[in-house]
Amino acid sequence: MATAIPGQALGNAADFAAGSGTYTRHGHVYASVIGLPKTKPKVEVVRGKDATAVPSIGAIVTGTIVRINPRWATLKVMVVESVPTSEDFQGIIRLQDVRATEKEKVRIDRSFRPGDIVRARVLSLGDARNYYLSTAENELGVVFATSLGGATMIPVSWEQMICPKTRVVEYRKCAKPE
Amino acid sequence: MLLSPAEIDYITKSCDRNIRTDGRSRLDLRPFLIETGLLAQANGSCRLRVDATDVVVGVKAEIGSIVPERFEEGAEGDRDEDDAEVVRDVQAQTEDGGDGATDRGRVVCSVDCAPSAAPYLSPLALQSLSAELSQSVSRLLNGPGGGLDLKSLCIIPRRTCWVLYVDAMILDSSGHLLDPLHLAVRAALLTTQIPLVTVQRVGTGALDLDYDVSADRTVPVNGAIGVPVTVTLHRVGTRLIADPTAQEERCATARVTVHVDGKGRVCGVKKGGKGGLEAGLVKEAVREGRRVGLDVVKGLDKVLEEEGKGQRVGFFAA
Amino acid sequence: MVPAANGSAFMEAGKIKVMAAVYGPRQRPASAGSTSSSSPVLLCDFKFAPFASPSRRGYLKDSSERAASLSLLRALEPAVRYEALPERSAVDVFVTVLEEDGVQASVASAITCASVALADAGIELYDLVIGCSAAFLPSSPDTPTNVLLDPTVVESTHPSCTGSLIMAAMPSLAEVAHFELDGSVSGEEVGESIDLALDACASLHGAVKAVIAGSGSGDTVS
Repeated sequence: MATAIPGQALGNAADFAAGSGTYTRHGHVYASVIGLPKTKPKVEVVRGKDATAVPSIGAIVTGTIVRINPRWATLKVMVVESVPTSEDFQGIIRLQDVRATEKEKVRIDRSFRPGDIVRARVLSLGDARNYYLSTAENELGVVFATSLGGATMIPVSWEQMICPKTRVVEYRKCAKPE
Repeated sequence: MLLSPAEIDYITKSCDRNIRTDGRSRLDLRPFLIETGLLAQANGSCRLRVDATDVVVGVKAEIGSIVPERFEEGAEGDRDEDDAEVVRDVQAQTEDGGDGATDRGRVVCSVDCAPSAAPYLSPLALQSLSAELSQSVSRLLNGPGGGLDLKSLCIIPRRTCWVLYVDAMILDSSGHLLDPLHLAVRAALLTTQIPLVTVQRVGTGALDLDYDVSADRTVPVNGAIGVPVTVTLHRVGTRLIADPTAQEERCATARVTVHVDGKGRVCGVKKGGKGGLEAGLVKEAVREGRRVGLDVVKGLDKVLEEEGKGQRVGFFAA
Repeated sequence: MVPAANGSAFMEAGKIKVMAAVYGPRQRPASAGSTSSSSPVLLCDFKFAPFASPSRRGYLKDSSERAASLSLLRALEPAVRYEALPERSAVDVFVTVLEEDGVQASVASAITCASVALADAGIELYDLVIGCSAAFLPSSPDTPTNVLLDPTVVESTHPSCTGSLIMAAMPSLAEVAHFELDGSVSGEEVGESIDLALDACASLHGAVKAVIAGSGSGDTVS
């Protein structure tokens, strides 16, 4: 089928249900993106290029910790679900959102360090500058970290990681490995 | 401005049926109250009230220097921001080969919305509303459709000219502000008197001219009768309405602003709003806007004529 | 055209050369818009390159470029499906005119180029927005005014030019997205110019469609 462009009529709203990449107006279905139309089971327009991923509430995001301070850790979000973002988004993990239990005993410097790769869930759109993220689940937290010695650390428990070279234990809020 | 979906629906449906919430039909305007000449320190002034909308315009004429042909960026001197903008525009015009920029005066417009006029807007949004309104008036009066004879404001070619500072203050608002603003500006300009200037030759050189400002004789601004009025038609539902209230304006999806002068010439058309408009509606807007605009011009001229004969009461008396 | 951008397009129309780049949807910068509103926002930026005109323009925007940015925004807004954009996101549209031939014609080309770039970026649109410009020029003081489509700089700045207009249309929906007219013309001339401009937008739309369908991602439209 020929490439559809935005505004192109694809069919009658009575015959087709509008899928992604389309919209309905005055009883007709029109394309809203450039792409190839597919008409079964419902009409949608599939783009050649991947759309940019944007964090939405409840989505699992992965990113790097860029800064920590006693009250929150700043995360640079680079992947949303499994789609990389073309632009980096900024989110913060607040003290109360690091883990689900014993929230008053949490210390950011014993949960995250700059450079750690962390998997988190989007809580809300937050304020103007940051999304609010949470690692308060077993599967969320640090997935990859480098020790002070420079080696990749291995998680030993939900709050500890060990460096294989120096055998030094460092504290992180670890994600449960699959 | 928050409206419930039921209210929006009610207003939209009633506009479709040609009976608006205050009983007017689609193209009926609200009556306006005008007073001119109430600011003693200004060369011309006007206060316009339509329902709750309250606009005060003051026109001050000052002698200034004509824009030099090459405006150097950085040689700002004592020019303020408004002047600098007009200067850059005029420079752009001269570069394209247009003539006349060195022998005419200019109009510098500024509109200030008081926070009481739009309490639901943030300070930033209020500032951008003020900037938009200023731009609209400035573009119109300095452009070809403005009606004013800017050449007559020139005193010594290439050196000195009258600069008309048109300053408007919006004290309160009830609906779209552009129409009352332009109407008030027109009324103020029509009643502006600038001192008479006589130019004398003081030497034999071409530039040896000097001017003398009269202390008691004044002249009106040439061409003020040609200043256009503005009629903005808003699309609510499937039809167009004129002079909307604030609630009706909130329900509008698009609008067309038409500038019409006393002779029925269209001096500008601008579509605004986030929605699209069918071509037929755009043409209807221009047609109806012209018709309503001509009525407004007639109405204003009649009011000013009667005011000229009557007595002045006082600023907040009426 | 611009690999770093989500979508881009380049357009040549006679001497006019315009480039548009679209970034987004991305996190809204804290300065744009009020923090309380979570609706997505479209930000447009229009600039003539310093070497675009016969005499050099500076790097700072002057009032005509600021006005053109606003016209660009007004023209693109009716076409963007805001409900498909994520909350509190921003879409940035940057248009640079590399060579101009008449301000109105350049802005009209910028509108077309920007809407193709938006479509290239995958932003959902109701329709492409096609821009067109015209100038009102009487051939002699007594004859009725001619409406010249797509005027060059000589035509639009001619001393006897009585007015000019920029129109942006959404041809598939048969709607006008943006219209602005400056000058002093008669009512009939306005009506005539609207019809002519709409026809021009429709035929330009056909050409743009053919290029997009042909190349798969909109590139040069000439």
